[in-house]
Amino acid sequence: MCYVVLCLVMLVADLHYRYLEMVRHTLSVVTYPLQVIAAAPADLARSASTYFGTLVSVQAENADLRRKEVQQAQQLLRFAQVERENQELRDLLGMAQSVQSRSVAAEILYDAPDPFSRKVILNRGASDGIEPGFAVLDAAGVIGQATRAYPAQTEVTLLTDKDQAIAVKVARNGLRGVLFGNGDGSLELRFMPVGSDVEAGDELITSGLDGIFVPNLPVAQVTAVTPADAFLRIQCEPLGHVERATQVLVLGRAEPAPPLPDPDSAIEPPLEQLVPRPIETAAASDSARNKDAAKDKNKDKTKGKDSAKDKGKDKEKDKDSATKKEAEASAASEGAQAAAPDAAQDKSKDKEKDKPKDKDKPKEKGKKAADGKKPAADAKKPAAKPDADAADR
Amino acid sequence: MQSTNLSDRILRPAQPWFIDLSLIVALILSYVPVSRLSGWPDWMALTLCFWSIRQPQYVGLDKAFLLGLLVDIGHGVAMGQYALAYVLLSHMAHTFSRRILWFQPRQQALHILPMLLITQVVMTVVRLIAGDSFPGWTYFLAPITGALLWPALSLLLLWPQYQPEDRDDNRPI
Repeated sequence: MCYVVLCLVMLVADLHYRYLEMVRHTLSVVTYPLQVIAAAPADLARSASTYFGTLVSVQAENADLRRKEVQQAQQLLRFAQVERENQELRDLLGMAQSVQSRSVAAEILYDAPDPFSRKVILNRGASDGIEPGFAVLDAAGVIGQATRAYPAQTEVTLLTDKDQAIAVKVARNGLRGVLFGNGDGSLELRFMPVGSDVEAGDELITSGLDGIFVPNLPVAQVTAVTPADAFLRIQCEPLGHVERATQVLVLGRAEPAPPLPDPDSAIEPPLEQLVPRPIETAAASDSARNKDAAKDKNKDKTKGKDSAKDKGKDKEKDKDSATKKEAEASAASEGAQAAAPDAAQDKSKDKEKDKPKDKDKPKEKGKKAADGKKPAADAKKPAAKPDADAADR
Repeated sequence: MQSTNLSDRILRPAQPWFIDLSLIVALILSYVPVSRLSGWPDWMALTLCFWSIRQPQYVGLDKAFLLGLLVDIGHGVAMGQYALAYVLLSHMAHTFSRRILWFQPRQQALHILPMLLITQVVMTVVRLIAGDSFPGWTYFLAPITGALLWPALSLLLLWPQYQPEDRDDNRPI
């Protein structure tokens, strides 16, 4: 009787709270050799079938692979260059770097013999750098997610497992959604309102918004879209060979995604947003966030406020100019003139860099000159803020 | 007249090492990747049930619990699913062992079948509560193949106990 109670407690602790992962990892050391022995006949059968596979099929496959290699070689050659270029452009814009990934090649040992779920076991584990949450993909697309990393093995939950979810977006238009497994081998994009721009044939790629998956991995293709009551019923088919893959790549983020912002600091009171000069309030909130920054930055901050005020004026002017097209050119010249001294006050180095650009830029679009100037001058500040906040925490 | 049954042969005592070995072999068999082949018997349940009937003092609930946990981990399911099922199976086997041993292996199989079915039902209920989908009725083929294999399994597992103490080819019996 006490064993039954113990089992029930364990079930609840494992299913609801995931308390027993440590016990599981420890005991997996015992079961691992037995699992290898048990998987040996299947391995033998597989290698035997490969060995006795006809020469013709191997030659055909070889020719196919060579053709693909030639096709992809030039893409690969350009890839390094494009990536470097992308990084430089991002540096220039002061944007966060694109997500760096790390990958482990692995082989599927066997299907987990559990008829209730769709899981597979890989022959690589935590000792190879695999962590729970990593994406698992074959040559065509994502097939699942690593859900448990044992020392020498990884348990992968396939996309088709019931209620296995993955954050995706439509490659064509960037529409975001969450893709769920149905448990019967098909996938469904749920909770898309009627009228969403999704068509049969659309490709779905990972959005990376979950903070777990690497963005832009191919996942699935929409096969049918039928309107239901409030949401569309969108049936999808995985692009990867979810149930048949043998060689897979385990892909994860090299560093964890940045933490979600603190909800208290993120929410602005709605009344303030209605104040006619939104930029100023933004600057004020910025300065409020910067309260605990170093004192020597205070000068910059006040200057920043001044510049923000100026900019607010500019913005108003811009608004007017938006209604009156003919006044645009004059506002532009004013904006550019107003912004340039601020930048000069802010940082002399930046001024050195930025001025020539402004000179190069013709004044054809005043808006861009005025608005584009500001982010360029302030580019370093927002980038520095999260660091300062992180350091404070 | 009292019915004769075949299991009244005088057996040699069971060797603990052989029981342990058979349980480990069953554990390995339960790990064999058959990719959800329906009807693949639950070797662990069968062997555990057999020894729980034959040697209740040696194979108790503790062993059933531990082996259940190892199967849980090997199958990557919630900790306690197989453990719960095996503990219940072992308990049922202990309860009915006096009765079951009166019958021939083929009739014993008819007793084993409902016990194996109950373990499957327990596991199904656990998984349905946990939110998984129903795997289909073929899931319940496994107890049937298990029961069909019972006579052969009994013969195999009792083989060492059938061996005479000292082999004498000239002995009349």
